[in-house]
Amino acid sequence: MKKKIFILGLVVCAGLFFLYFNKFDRQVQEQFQGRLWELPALVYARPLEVYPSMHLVPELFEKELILMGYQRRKGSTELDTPGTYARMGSSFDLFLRVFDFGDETLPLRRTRVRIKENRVIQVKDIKTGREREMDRFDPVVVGRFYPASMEDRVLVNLDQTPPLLGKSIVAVEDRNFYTHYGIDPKAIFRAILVNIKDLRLSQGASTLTQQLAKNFFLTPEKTLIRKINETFMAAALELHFSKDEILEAYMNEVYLGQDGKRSIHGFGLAADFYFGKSTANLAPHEMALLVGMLKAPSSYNPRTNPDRARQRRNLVLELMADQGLISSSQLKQGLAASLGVIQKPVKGLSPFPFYLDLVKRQLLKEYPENDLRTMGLRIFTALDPQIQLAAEQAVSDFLENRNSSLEAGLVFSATATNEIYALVGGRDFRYRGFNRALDARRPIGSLVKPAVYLTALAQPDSYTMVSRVSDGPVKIKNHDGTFWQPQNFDKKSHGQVGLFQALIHSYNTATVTLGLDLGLDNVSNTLEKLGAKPETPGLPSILLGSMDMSPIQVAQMYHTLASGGFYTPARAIRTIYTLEGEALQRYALTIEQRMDPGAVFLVNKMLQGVVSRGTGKSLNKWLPRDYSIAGKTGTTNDLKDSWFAGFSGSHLAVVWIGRDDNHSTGLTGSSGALQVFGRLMSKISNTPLDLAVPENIEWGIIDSITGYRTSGDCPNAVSVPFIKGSVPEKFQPCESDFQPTQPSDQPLPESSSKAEPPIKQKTKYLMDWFKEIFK
Amino acid sequence: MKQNLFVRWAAICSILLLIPFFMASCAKTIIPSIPQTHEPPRQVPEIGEPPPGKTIEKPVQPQPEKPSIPAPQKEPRPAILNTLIRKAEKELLLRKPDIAFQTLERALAIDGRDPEVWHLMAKARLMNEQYRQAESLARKSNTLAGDDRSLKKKNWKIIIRSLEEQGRVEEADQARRSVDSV
Repeated sequence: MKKKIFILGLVVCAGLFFLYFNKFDRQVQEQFQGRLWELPALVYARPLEVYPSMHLVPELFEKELILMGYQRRKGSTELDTPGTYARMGSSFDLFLRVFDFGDETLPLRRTRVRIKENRVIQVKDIKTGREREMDRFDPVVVGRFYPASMEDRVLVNLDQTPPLLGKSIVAVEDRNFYTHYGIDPKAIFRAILVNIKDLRLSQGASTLTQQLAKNFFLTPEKTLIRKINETFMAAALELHFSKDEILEAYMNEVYLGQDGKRSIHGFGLAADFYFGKSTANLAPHEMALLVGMLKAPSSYNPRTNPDRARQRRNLVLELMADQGLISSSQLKQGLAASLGVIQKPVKGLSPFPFYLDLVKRQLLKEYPENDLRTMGLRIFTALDPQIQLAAEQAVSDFLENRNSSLEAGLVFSATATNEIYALVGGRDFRYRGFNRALDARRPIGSLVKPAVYLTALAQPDSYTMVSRVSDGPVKIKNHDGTFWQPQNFDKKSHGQVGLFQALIHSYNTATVTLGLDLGLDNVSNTLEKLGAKPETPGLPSILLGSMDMSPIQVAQMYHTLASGGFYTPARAIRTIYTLEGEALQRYALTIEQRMDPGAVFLVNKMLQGVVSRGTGKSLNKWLPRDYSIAGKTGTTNDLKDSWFAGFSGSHLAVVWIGRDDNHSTGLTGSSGALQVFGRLMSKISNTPLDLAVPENIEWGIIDSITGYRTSGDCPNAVSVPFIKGSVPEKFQPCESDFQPTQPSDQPLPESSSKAEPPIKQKTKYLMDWFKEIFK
Repeated sequence: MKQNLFVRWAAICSILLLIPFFMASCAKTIIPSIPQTHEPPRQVPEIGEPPPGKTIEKPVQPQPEKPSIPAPQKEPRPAILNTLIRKAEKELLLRKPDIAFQTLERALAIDGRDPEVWHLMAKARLMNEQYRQAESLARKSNTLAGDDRSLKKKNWKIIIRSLEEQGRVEEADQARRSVDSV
């Protein structure tokens, strides 16, 4: 009977044992079938493409290399590992890393880049000596979107890592790894003896498999139950997976340090975090240091405890030599070597948090946040680190020694594609806070005016650049019975002025008069086509920019002008790749013609006038006139907001300077934002704005005083672009009476009718009289 | 009314008599017909620029300092741009419009004002059957094409085809007339 009970008990125990094991077995299988780790999304800047004749400032180039995590060496011969460079004056030798760009993967290679007077004059493959048309560098990491655990890792395959690394891990952590089945009884027995002797659980006997099981599935507390569970799990792992698979998983799983909130997991990331290398390029002493850290990553952190880390590394090196993994000369070399740890490449979570914020917002419109944080996506953006750094420098240089309450927002984009190359959201560039470039919605003041003039010029039968408009006092009755009486900035009226003069000098009253003639709905319609979203119903005050917009919205609006009337949505992201390298989504360029290129051309000509002769004239302090920048200043009431929006042939930038408390900045658009714009544009490469003349444009020779057509040899003759068919018919020959008495961009003499093109003026001259007769 | 007619005829006759005198007096001042040129006439400054040799500008504020950076210089087309264009053309021949479009986007980052790049983008989108995009891209190429008539014609062909595919027949007819004018 007792025997039966014993057997029954044994069977029940075996059943329970089996059930218990089965539970873990299933858990292990399920977990390993899915994704093993939650991997953060990686956000990249645009890869730098270097080719002969490109503009490249050596200092900015080097700054980008540092952001890319490249280490400087003294000479070309010392480029021993990928991710290193040597600089000789304006010549750079680089040992470039392997990188998968999505559309191609470039291998390890050594490249020489020679720069002369800020231009690349040669890109050469150092090994073959062959000149290259272009080289493409692995991009700066702008940031990561982490899982809730804040775990970060770079996955490595066992075949990508040097065998010595795996062997060293085994030698140090679990010598019998290849012979046991997940549990090492000898090690357990040894640990029990030590623990009994010490009367506490000080000695562990975990195999690599057990450690992996613990990290994957269990809590870190040292309890007996957890230990039993760990054993079951380890056995289940060994049952289903090969030793190499377990070792690979271990190498990717282990914790190897902390970077603020972010925890460093796996040898792939640790190699990069501590040495700026991939695991494939680790030297034996570097492997020894990382393997040594497994025991206690914070105690043996080479950055905070270098001496302790060195001792531990040397111990591991000796163990490696004892096991025959390295030769005695390697041991000698390794013991003598410095720790070789790099400085933390980037402080904080992202070098450019404001830009990262923009990327995240765009992503969250389309992807669930959890997917972003766990799927290991690779996100390629348009961020240009060199321009970003130049933009930050421009903002900080301007704000230096000024009121500390002044804040800034800046958006920089490409005129061709409307890709956002740089973004500044405030004066503290590394702070993840209120992003003024995206969220500071403020009145735009005179930045709205080009939309008013564009509305006019899109009606060539009624308006041309030389049409007259009254800049006299304006008084408009509000709904509540009060009056709105806008004034010019100089508090003066300028009589009848040409549209060109009214815009370049930013006359308020002329603009309001013109806008009211055009109709608020028409102006709003233009604003909408440009990409702004004016509030409805519109009030006359929108004609002077009493509409709130953020810098990025203004950039969108001005981009449509800069691209000749073609609307392109602003983009920060280029492509998203899955962990497996498939393109998940591409954000390709799209364009839509929204405005007549002819009318936009005329407005852009006027905006060039703003910079060459009008309110934006002080830009000439920063850039030669030959760049023909087009732009517009904006200043709001009591100098609360200082704006400038402008573009060259290649780039557009919008700058806002203001205060979060909405008090006066004491700055106009010209004395504030424009100065930041100028600083920035003078530091980077730009193409002059050579406006392409659309098909429907013709030129008339116009007397700048009378506004009539005249002959080319007339002293006041200026060439003026018109939409075909709108050149004034009236011709006036040169008259000695008509000597220039005022600048050619000054108001024209009063005409009989408000905003009436010269075409309708009365005849005054003999030739006109004859023409009348022959009618 | 009759009197008015009489005055007109009298004036006309007297003018006919006076024509030779006028011809002589106007010999030096040639009155141009409406001066329609597509590009700005070179002999006169553009609006907003001071007349040559005249200092009529009254400085209202101190003259800005001279900028430290040099004036831009015209650079030759980088060789890589040609390579990328050729690559995109090959990709289009192989009917890989998406890949070609990506290549062309890289080319745009080098020179965003190259009409050929925009033209090829239009071609890629036409192949993708994205007719609205093809039309816009071709129009954009036209705005940058300057005097390149051959390229303009090619763009117009894309525009016409895109309009037809969208069922915008009248606009397509109008576009055909534009090709003829090119």
